[in-house]
Amino acid sequence: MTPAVNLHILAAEFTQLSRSAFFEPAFQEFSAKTAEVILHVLQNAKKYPEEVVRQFQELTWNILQFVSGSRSNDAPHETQYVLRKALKEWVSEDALVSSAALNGFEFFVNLADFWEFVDHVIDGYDVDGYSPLVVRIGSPAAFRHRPVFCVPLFHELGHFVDHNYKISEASVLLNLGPTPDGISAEQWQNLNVQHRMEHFADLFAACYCGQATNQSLFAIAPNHGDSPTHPATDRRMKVVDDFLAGMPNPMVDLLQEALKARKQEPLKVRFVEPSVECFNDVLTCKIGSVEELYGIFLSSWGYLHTQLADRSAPWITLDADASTIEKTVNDLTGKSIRNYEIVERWKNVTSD
Amino acid sequence: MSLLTKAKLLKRINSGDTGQIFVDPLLSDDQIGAVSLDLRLGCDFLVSVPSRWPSIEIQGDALPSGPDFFFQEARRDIGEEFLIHPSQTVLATSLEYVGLPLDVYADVISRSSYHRLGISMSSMFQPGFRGCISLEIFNHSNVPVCLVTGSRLVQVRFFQTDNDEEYQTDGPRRKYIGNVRPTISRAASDHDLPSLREISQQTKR
Repeated sequence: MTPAVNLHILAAEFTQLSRSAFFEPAFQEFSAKTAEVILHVLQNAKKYPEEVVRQFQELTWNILQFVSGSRSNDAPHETQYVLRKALKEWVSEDALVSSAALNGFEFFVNLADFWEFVDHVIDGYDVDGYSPLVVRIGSPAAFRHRPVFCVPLFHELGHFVDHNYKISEASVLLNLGPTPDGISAEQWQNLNVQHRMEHFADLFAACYCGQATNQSLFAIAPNHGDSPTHPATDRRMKVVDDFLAGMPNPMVDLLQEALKARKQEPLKVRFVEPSVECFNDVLTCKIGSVEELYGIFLSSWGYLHTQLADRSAPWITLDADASTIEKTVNDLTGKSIRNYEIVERWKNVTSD
Repeated sequence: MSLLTKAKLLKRINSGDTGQIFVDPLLSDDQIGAVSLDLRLGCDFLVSVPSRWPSIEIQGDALPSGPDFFFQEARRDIGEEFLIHPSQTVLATSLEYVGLPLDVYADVISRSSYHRLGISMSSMFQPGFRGCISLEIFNHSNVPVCLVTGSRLVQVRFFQTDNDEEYQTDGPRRKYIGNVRPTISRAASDHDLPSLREISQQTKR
């Protein structure tokens, strides 16, 4: 299990992936190029310090998790489609949205830039301008067909946007406040950056999913207090509540200022809630716009939790359990999203 | 009982009222023919595969040799090809999500163009049905056939019944309501099977 042996294994894995089926064909090219750079490192291993080779293989293991999770059979396609649309509103270049299918109940975004490392550190390998923006998002494998439960991924996408434009860091430069007694200036700065990253990600998610953001946060971390990395849950929820209600909030104002300083669009509500009354008749929702596409997460979230509580929908029989209810709502939501995508792509090709 | 022809299909497909035949997405109006509606091949598949077990058993789906162990998931993007080998059974669905009113049932058969290639399927859907129509596709020919997801694989004939029938609440709860991707057979949950097992055991004693 030395780095060199691992790299041989990784080269074989990426070669196989380059022949796999992905919804985004760009992943095949990505896999082929990754296999190529791994082989270059192996052939020239003596030129590189041991630490470089070790770090390179660690980054490559990480990338493998995301690329393999993005294969057609494994990727949460419908959720990824909506995340790609949201991301396009913030980054002008085409981004690869990759996903790792995790065994545990966790959501995260991975921010290390593999090709930047290759370009700057792997001497002798010419990337030839190949430097795709790769958004790496992890979510539970069991949620592959459960888009309603993937609302936390919008929060993770917010972290990516923050990292890309250094919003939280900019906000600290704009306004930090005096260092309290008992901690160093550096610790105070780090604490503020960490907490503002969470607030930004929450607000970013709220732009697309509305109150479903707070409700999913409460479901995951109901009574969490302040920690070095996260503000208390109730404080986080208050910021989102104020933002969505249009109420003044100093954290919202600060992050909006930071976005402006970084020449980015402000945070604003980007969704419209479509009616999902059709779900009562076990019919898909005909999503009419991209705003409704974002809004269906909120609509479906609300519908699902209402039905779990009062079981009022006509299709819920006496013997239907919670898993039947959530599967039906998640399936109808996923199919509604998929239909919107199919119609969009059909119209792009067939219209005059 | 009467076959719905084009004029009635045009009135009832996606009319928005309780008597509508719901089809989502309907990519092209010319899918509506003189006496039928063409439906497209969906993007999700369950492919039959051999396994370590000698046969599919339906007496109790919790057993290791239940249907689940003989099918494998595969997904394609729209417009991509899907290969079906000779004598292979593949479970797929229509691209369209369909909802039938209480006074209409539907027969589904493969279109002649695909029948001529050895691809066949036929099925029927009860009044009140909801979901992507299940397509149990079999390749009768001796050569593999490449299907394209999104292509018009089947045609559906709709028949208006004399009375309304309730799909969801009459009789045992339907097994496949609201499905959006192919689903493994739930033959093992047929409510007659325990009685039949008991009859068989009585005979043996």
